[in-house]
Amino acid sequence: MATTDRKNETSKSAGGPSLSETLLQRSYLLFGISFVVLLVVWEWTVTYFEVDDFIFPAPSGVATALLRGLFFYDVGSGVGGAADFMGLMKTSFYNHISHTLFEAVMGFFMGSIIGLGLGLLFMQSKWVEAIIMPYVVAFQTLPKLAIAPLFIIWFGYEVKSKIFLAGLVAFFPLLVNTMVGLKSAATDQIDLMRSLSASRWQMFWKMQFPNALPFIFAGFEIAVVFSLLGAILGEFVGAGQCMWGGRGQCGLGILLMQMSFSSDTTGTFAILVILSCMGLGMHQVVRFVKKKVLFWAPETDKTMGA
Amino acid sequence: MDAYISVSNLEKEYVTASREIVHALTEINFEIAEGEFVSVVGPSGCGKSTLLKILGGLLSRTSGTCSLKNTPIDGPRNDVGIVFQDPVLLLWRNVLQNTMLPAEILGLDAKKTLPRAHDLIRLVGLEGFEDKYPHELSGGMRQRNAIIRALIHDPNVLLMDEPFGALDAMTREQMNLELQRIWLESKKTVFFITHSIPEAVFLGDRVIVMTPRPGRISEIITVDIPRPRSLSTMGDEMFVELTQKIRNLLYVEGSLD
Repeated sequence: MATTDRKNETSKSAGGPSLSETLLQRSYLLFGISFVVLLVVWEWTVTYFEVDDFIFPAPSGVATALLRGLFFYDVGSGVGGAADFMGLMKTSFYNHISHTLFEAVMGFFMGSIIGLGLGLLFMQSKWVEAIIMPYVVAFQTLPKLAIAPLFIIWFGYEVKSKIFLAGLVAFFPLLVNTMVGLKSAATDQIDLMRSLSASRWQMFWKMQFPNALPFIFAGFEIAVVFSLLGAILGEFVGAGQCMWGGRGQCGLGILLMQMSFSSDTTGTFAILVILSCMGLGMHQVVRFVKKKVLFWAPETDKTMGA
Repeated sequence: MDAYISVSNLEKEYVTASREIVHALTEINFEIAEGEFVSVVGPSGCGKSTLLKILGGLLSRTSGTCSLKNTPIDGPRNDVGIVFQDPVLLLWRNVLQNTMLPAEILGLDAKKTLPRAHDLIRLVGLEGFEDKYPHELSGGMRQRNAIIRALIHDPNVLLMDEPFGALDAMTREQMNLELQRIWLESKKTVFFITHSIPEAVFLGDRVIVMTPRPGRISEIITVDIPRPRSLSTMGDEMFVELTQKIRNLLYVEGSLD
């Protein structure tokens, strides 16, 4: 028995992959290790040099603030007893998260559907494209932050203005990617369809549109991240009342502002962690759908209009 | 000889983006009989693909006449199947769906074409791969898929534009044998473009030799080698003689530089 065991061991170490190969193949393992190392170094540095929480909080502090906000409904650490003048910190993280998520997701759907629709429309008629496209491009070059106050005036402080702002930033990647995608059909593909006397409709549905799907999904991937940005941006300018219970105003953006006013850097970091997780999560959902729909497409990055 | 496809005094000019006039084809005259296999060989830029697209109704001609079954070719027609240099399979369709594409577009009865699709899939040895997508197929399999797609609506004429150009030498020979077998079974009229002199001779009843700038026919050579031809045919005296003759024609014209 002992001899066979040893044989197995030797064959394993000879034929199996080395440690470095294993790590490179399983990049999530590598990420986990580097993340832990980063946290340890960060924690140690902050403690060793006695950096003030107000300047740069330790990961342990951020984790505490995060857990407190998520499980004990007590958001602010209130450094120096900073005033909670908006009553924000009596509201659970979940209320803020749900507001921002709602705005971002609704904005994403609205903006990307309109972007996709306009992209399809522009490609049907060169006239429409020629007339409308300059306005769209001019509008796109405007900094969105500059439009945000206008949106508040037009659509109010409530969620509507945030949804529209999120939709606005989600719109352009879809428009551009849809147009590029529809133009991407190879000459051979067009010749193939023409040789069969395909109608314009058949040409579009059987060839052009499926061809554009990898580009369109690349647009979705950008738009979903942008929509979160748009929602936060809108909240910075002015958040609305909580819709689902909770007192005062809701939204991670306004919470972030509030924490910044009260010099709660630790809390700010905790919100950034939440935002980062939300962004990653939304992006993963889009990627999941993309993998299901585009199982036939070679995995390439077709990213445009970012 | 009964002319099935007839081309006379065909000229093709086009204007490039920089407004230069390019003379792509000049004085093209030939006839193809029904069921004949005609290869076209010539260097890049001799206008062979342009010629094929004109025959397929995908390009217009500048002057001259071009007819199929005594009717002028003025646009794409249903009795012609085209195989391109790249397989041009639709990536989101599996082997069966790609094969059925022309039937769908032409609105043919699926009850009749589906059994035919399965027959064709069997004919080229793709059975068991019906539900595989292009990214799961080898280069040879993709091209076979493209060939049977061109055959699904049972066209009388098959136009092939360097269909095996992207394949490795061994797969290519295999495909040559297979194409000969398909042709012998289906008796289509085939117009086959290639870069390869041996391939042109191996497959063709006749070989049209073309030279570039402007693209014109240098000579049409009859290949009097009995069918079915096997790979060992390529060692025969007649075969070697013909390929040498074509090679000389191309070199004399100074086009293989």
